[in-house]
Amino acid sequence: MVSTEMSMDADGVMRMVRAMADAVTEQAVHLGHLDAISGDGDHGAGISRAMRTAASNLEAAPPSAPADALQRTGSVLMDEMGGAAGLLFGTIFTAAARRAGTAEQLDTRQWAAMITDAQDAVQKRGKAQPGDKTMVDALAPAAVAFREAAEQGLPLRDAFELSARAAAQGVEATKAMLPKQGRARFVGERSVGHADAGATSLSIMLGAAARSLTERSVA
Amino acid sequence: MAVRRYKLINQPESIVPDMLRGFAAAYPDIVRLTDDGMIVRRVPKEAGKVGLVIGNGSGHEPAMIGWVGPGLFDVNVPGEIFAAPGPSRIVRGIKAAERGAGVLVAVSHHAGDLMNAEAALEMAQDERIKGVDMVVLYDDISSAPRDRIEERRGAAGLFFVWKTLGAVAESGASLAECKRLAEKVRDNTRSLSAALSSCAHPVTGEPLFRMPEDEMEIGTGVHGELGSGRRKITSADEIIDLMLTPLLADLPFRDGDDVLVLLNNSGSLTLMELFILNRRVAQRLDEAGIKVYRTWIGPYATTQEMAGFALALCRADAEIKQLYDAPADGAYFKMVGREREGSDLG
Repeated sequence: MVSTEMSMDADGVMRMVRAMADAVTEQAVHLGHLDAISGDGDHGAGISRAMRTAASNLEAAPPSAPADALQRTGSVLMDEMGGAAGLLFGTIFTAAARRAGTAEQLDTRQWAAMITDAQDAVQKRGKAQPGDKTMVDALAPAAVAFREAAEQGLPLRDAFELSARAAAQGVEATKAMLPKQGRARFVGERSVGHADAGATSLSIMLGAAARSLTERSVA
Repeated sequence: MAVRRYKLINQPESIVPDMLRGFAAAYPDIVRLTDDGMIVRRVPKEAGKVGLVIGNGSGHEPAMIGWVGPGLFDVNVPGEIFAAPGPSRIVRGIKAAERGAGVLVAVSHHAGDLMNAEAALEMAQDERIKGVDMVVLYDDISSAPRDRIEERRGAAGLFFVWKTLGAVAESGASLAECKRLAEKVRDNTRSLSAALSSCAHPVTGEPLFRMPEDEMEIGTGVHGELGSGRRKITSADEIIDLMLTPLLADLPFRDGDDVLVLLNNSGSLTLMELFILNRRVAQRLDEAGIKVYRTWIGPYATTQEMAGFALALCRADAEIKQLYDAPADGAYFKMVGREREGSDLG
C-alpha cells in the first residue's frame, strides 16, 4: 500500500512529519521573532529541533502503522521540546494517534475525526478557548475545514490544503487579539498587531502536510 | 544596559546535557546524573519516607539541580532552557523518587510546568503507580491580583517552600502532611521582583526584553515576563520602599509577625548591592514591628545574567521555623541544623 492523494499510510505520515520539520526549520527565525514578542523567543528553535528529531527517528526505524508514527512524533515533541508548547503540539499528535487506532490508511474522514480529537485534547489540557490568542485559534478553524471537506468527500490533499488555509486565516485573526493564556498574558497589548507563534507554527505544519501529499514519491 | 550576547557554551543543542555533566562531576558526593538526564541523590532517602520531585526549565541555576540532597529534593528533572520537562520524563522522576510512602510533585506555577505535571500524574495513574500527588505553588504578587491568587506565578519565595517541604519529608511525614505543609508555607509567602536589564537567551542569543539603560521594571517574571510598570532607576532605599509597601499589604504582614526574608539575585547584581537593599528591608520591617527570624541573600533562582532581584517574605510560626532550621545538604544549599530557636548563635 502507498499513500495517495486520497489517503495516508505509515510511510505517508513519516513523509508528512519530515515535510513539517523542513517547513518549521525554514521559518524558525520568523517563529522565534514572533515568540519573542510575548515569550522567550525560542519557539522556532525548539519546534524545529524537535520536529527534525522526530522525522529522523521515524526514518531510522520506520513506523509500523500511522498511529505508531504519530505517537512517536508526539512523544518527541513532549520530551525533547518540553514546556507548554512541546506538550500541546505533542498532544495534537498523540490524540490523533489514539483516534487513528489500528488503521493502515487514513483518509479525509478519519483525519477530520483525528484533528477534531486533537483540538479537544489541546483545549482540555491548555484550557484555552478560541480568541485567547493561542494555537487553538488556528486548530479550531482547521478542524472545521477538515470536517467540511470530509462531508464533501474531498481527497485528503485538498482537505489538508483547505484546513491549512483556514488555519492561516485563524493566524491572521490572532493579530488583533489580546493574549489570555500562559506567560503571554502578562504582555497584554504589546502583542496586538503580531500573530501568535504557536498558531503560526500549526498553520505552517498543515501547509506542509498538504504539500507532502502533493509531492509524494510513488514507490 | 547592553546584554552580553555570547555565552561560553559548545553547541546550543548540548547546553543542558553539558551543564548537567559538569555539575554532576563537581558534586559526586551529593548527586548523580542518571542516563536519562535527571539529577538524583547519591544516597537515596530512607525507605518509608515521601519522595519529592520537581521538574523545571533549565537556565535558572542553581535552581533546582543545586537543591537535590538530604533535607531537600530527591529528584530534579531539568527541562530544556526555560521549558518544563515533558510528562514521561516527570513519570521517570516519580519512579526514581519512590521510597514506599508516595511521591509529591512540586510545581512552580507556570503554564508549562503545570500542564506537564498534570499530564504526568495522569500517565502515572494509567501506569497504576499509587500514592502520587502534586502541589501547585505561587508567590509573585505582581502576576495576578489577590482575589485571583491561584493565577499567580511561582518565583523566589518558593525557596521557603522547598526548604521546609524537604525537611518535613525527611522527618517521615505522610504525603498528605507534606502537601499541607507546602500549601501552608505558600499561603504565608509573598514575593516581588525588580529588573534593571535583561539577559540573552542561551539558545537564540537574543535579549528576553529590552529596556532603556536608566530604567527599571517592578514585577518582571523569572523568564523576563513583563512586569507592572517601568520607571527611572532610583536609590536602593526607594526601590525597597516601592516594593515593600505592596508586599506587606498583600498577605498582610502585621506588627508582631516573625518573617523569613530572601533577597534573590536574578543574575548579575553584586552582593554589595543586595546588602545595601537588605539594609533598608531590615530597617523598614523593624519600623513595622515585624521581626526577621532568618535572612537569605544570594542567587537562588537566576534568569541567566539578568540584573535584578526578588524580595520574598514568609510569615513563620514555630513549625515553619523548626523546618527552616533543619539540616539540609544540597550542592547549592546547606544548612548545618540549629538546635535552638532564635538568632542566638553569637
